[in-house]
Amino acid sequence: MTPFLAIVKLTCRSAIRSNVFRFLLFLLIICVILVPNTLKGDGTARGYLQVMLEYSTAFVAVILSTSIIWLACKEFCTDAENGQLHMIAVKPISRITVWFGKFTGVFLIHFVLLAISFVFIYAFLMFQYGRQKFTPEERARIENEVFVGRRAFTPYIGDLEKKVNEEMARQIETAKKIGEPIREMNGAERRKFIHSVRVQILAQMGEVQPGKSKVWYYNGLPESYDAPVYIGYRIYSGSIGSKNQKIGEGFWFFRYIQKIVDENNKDKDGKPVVKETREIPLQKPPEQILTSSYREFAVPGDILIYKGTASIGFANLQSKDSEVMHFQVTESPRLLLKETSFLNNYLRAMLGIAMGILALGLIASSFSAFLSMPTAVFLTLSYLITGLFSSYLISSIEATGGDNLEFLDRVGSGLAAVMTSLLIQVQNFFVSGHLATGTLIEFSYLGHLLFFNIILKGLPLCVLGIWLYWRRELALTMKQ
Amino acid sequence: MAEAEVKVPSDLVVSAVGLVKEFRDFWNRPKAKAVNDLDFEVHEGEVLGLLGPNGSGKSTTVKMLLGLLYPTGGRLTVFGKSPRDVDTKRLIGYLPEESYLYKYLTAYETLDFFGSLFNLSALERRKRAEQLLEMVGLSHAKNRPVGEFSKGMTRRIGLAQAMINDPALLILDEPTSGLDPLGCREVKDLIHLFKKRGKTVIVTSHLLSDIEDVCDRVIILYGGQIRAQGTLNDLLTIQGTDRITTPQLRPDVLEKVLAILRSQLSEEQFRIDHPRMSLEEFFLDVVNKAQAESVETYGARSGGQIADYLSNGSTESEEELAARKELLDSLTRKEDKPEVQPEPEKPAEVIDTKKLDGLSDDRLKTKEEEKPAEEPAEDLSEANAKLNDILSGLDRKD
Repeated sequence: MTPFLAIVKLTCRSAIRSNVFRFLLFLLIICVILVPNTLKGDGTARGYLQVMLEYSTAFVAVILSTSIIWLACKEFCTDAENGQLHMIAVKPISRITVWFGKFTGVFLIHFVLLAISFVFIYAFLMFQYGRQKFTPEERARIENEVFVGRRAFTPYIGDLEKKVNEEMARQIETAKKIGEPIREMNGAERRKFIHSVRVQILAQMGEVQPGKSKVWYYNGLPESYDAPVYIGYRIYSGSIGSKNQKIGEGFWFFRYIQKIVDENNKDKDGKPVVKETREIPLQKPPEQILTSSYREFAVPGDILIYKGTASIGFANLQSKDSEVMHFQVTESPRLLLKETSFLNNYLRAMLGIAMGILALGLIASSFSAFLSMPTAVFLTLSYLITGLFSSYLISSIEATGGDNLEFLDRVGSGLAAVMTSLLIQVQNFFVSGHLATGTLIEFSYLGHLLFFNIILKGLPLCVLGIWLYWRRELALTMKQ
Repeated sequence: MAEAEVKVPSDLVVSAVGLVKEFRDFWNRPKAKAVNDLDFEVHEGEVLGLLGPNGSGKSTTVKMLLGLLYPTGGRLTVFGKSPRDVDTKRLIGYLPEESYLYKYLTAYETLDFFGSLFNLSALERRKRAEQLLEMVGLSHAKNRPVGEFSKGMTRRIGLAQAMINDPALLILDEPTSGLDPLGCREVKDLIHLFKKRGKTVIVTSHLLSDIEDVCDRVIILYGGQIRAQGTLNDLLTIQGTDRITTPQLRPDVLEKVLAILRSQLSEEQFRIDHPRMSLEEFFLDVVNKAQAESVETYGARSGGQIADYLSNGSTESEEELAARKELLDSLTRKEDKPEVQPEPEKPAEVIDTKKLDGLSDDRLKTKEEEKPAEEPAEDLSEANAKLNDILSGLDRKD
């Protein structure tokens, strides 16, 4: 253990005593101090704190990501190229221990910096919250929407694949009935067709025609929940994803199941037994709604939730010649239930970012174990960019899909699919956005990232890096 | 694993059989054969010198011994195991040609770090680091970063790290490179100390005098092959010649010696001159005097006492202990060395002129019964003995 710890200590010392690292540290301090002090937000108290929280944590994540790539590459490459590694390699310590020692040192120092930065940001946030002259309403809103960890529930969409298959069968049947020729589809065409049907079904689920209403159902909610449930939504006008902001009009309504109890009959807990239930529709007053912007409102949990289910609806009050209102049902309207404290969620966000930094360190350390520094940095950045854009590439190819680019589309889409399945998509670890909106960062989400990204995708790369590091003829790596 | 747990199979420390190292390019095409079919062995307690011009394969051989390069062919073992075996490295100390140290670490931190790699306890590391710093004359600079050191100081700290584990095999690549004569002498003295303690040392150097001073045996490489190997005596003794060294002789005595030599040899066959101090000896003398006068320096100072752990455990006799004491004295430079004294106080008393007279008068016959009145110094006894041998030989010819 002593040799391992010696390498860890050496790596930390190397970082602390290097000028580039000191510069990055300076940037980190600047960002932690300056960013919160220069941001204005959207003019609201909630927006101010949300922006401060999101930007500060995101800046810290970006700086530490840059730093870990640089430090990992430096520690592994320059040590080998300048000959210092020779001095270690002739001592009784295996190269695998050296690799792990360096990697641990690199990660450890960044984790400590991340923790310090997060402590500072938290303290500053609380200081600002206590110092600012917010109204009681603003404070209540901040505490319910920002300083909280809320679990999000999206509308129940059923078995989407089954619906897609049924819709495809219906369209083919219709084509047969009207005598339209049905041509054989190749793989890409079929995938594109399925995608378009899926988008169509989801759009129908979130579409509210003028003068009509739509109801959504929610499952898996807690059996009893007394606290306020927040309903968060973003309405698009005309088409899903439209960024045009317009003023629409509508109102929300809910299912309230009234429980009629028998006061003479009590259960074992001494509570009156529910004799019968009655479904009563409740509605909010009509309101002007700004499209493409995110909004929330609260409904008492004991009114909205009955036996772990809820139902809400939206009525489009616009005239019939107006544009259709759309909800993206995979995201909204969503129910937000308080699950944990802000501090707990904050620590989860820190854990997520720490895992992201760990993944970056793993990628950079693996490449730099057998490559020169510029090549290792280049490959690490290429890896990140490819991972970042591969998923966007797939969706954009499928969305456009012109006939002239069919072959290239197929190649590009195939490559992107391979890349998505092979590469760690580091951006998924950076959860500042979730934190700022008070969305619970689920342990299951973090566990999923850990298993599928770090273990399944990162470990093979790591093993390859260590094996090549172990095999390397160190005397040949030195710069003359 | 503790150092003592590694078993050394026999007195064979290094064994190379048909050792080949071929460098290849990216396409695996042969580029250069740096080492070609080397066979050699190094035994325990031996000081071996690896000699050769640039590109002869010395460094490649050393790097293969350390597991930094892998042989293309043949078999190489160090303490009976592969050079890549991690446990074998507990027994090895290595000083590379360039001191590849971490510039941001201080001298003390450097030694502490390398001590940690040998799994030494914190207490042991501190003790050894302090002693080694004292030994290499850098205790005053222990908190300075190595990056600020001069080349010589860096070499000293490099040498110290090579000895942190009290190695059984010490591999020194150009150990005196960058060192001042004082440092060179200390390195050589250290090598002698290691040898006395039964340790094995492999030295590569371009400075042939270094090799000559410290090595028992040398291997001369050229073109990746062994061109000559053997003990220094075997390789360097010029057969059929003798050298006599005496204190300065009185003119009449010298004339008598010359007469004897002329009677047996032609003028071209012998030569008489005044021996000179080597520049190294003269330099050391000057520095020792300066140190005695306490002149301040921020550079490396002459080494101090040998680290305790390097001295302990040796099975030295009383004479060896006395020799070590003498070595320690020489390292601490507290008094002048006898060999740098240019003139003995009473040279005339050492040689018995009557003996020479007698030899001359009696037609160069040896008179063994005539002993010198006073006990001569050691080197003079040897000189006399040599002289007697020569004269006896001449007698027999007559």
